[in-house]
Amino acid sequence: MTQHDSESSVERLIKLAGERDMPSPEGMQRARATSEVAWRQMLAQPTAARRRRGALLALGFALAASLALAAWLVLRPAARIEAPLVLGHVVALEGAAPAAVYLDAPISSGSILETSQGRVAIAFGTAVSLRLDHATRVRFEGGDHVTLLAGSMYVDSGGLNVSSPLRITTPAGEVSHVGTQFQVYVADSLTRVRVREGRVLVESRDGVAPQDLATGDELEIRGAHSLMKRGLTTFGADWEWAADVAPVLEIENRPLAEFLAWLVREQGWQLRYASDALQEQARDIRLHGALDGLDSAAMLERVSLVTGVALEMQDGVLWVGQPR
Amino acid sequence: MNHADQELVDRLLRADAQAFDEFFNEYYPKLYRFVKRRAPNDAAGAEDIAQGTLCRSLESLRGYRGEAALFTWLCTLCRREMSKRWRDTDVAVGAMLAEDDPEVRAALESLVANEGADPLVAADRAQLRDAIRVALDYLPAPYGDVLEWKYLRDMSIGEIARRLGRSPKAAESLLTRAREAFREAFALLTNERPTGNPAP
Repeated sequence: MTQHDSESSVERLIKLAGERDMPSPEGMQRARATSEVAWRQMLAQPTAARRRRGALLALGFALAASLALAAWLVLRPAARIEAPLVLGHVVALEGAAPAAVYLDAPISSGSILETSQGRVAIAFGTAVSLRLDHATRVRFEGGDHVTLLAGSMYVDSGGLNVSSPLRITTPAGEVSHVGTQFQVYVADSLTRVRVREGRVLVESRDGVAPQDLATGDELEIRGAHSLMKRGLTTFGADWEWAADVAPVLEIENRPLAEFLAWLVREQGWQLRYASDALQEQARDIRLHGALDGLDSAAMLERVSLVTGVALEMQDGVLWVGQPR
Repeated sequence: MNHADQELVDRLLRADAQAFDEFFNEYYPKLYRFVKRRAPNDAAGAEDIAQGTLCRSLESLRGYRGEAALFTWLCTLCRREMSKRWRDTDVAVGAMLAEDDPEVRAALESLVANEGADPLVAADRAQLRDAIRVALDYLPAPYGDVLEWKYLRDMSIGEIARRLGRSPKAAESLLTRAREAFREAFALLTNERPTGNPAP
């Protein structure tokens, strides 16, 4: 067979096969970001040789200070590994979270948290509450920046008057907020942002003008395509998972009004008092005991029972006293 | 020992960002296809598994000793990721593929140029396409890409040379070696040598 024949047969075969499958651009982007983190974390780990040196160092101290000093001079690590910053802590768990995720576990810069079958609530920075749903992966970049790699994340910035900047990187772009509650969901090529309260800015990677979302808005981005929906409810099934993993308010000796304000914020409800007198009364009534392990309906039932104040839910509104 | 693979790993261990790009661009798509051939209807799952494999490999990169080709080592990790993901699911994993045969794998690792003139007895076209794609994936970098650029995108030697950052003569030589390596890999997978027209 001539060289030309040989080349021709290879050409025919390759043309027959066509282009090889490629992962989606979003998948590539996600995989690159995730694997780069794994690579950098590996590089930051001390090598076995360094660990052995560390062990020898400890032994040296135990034997004799003078020998240890000599050993340290000879065997100390070549380069210092900088300690990561602690950005927050795990404050509540629900379901079967991975063993590495436990109550009060510190959240370090550069770390990745995977919720697996559990849900996790994190006190992040000074005021932000983050809730991570099942099957969620988040990388904590810094004190005001996280990357949502997959799954659902709910953000409560602590209220409209609290300054707690947070930037969330997603495959579709950057999501930032102005004092708000919202959730971001990432799956394959889809990024979805829903706003419960306040305003959220979404800056797409594709050079599309930034989109400003307000209460009740939902933006879905899939590649270069986006779909905005407005006027959606801010409570109900789509939001319940975030409340399920919320740290429970410690009610001991707190006013009823404070408990009610906390509950409606967590549930995305509105609060209405049937009368000014009831509102005043709610500020004076002090609660005692604990509400751990109860869902919202059971909390309302128990609090209503012990305070004698009627509490009734109607279409996303919690009425204190009989609804008007 | 595969010196090119070991060198790439050494550069990764020295925090060489360009090495990371090369590693990712070369192996993520290959791992994705490696998984997808076994679960053709789960593209998203294939992306996740390929991503997980890359992460695991980078976390344990210091354990790579160059005894097997880097892609073979990655495929070993990938099989673990696949069984972990599919253990509790009803994803139908494809039948054992030719590349899963240890002998074929070993042979693919030590590709050598080998001219031959046996006639091609084509199998089913889909199987044939798979074999061609597998062969391309197992070729040393950047042979598979170069063959696709040349024969699917009709790039000239000059364009290939510019894309590789090499001289036209070096690109021509690389293309020749890529063809030879492809012929050998294809023969190993199909027991046939590409010599003529594939059967319809």
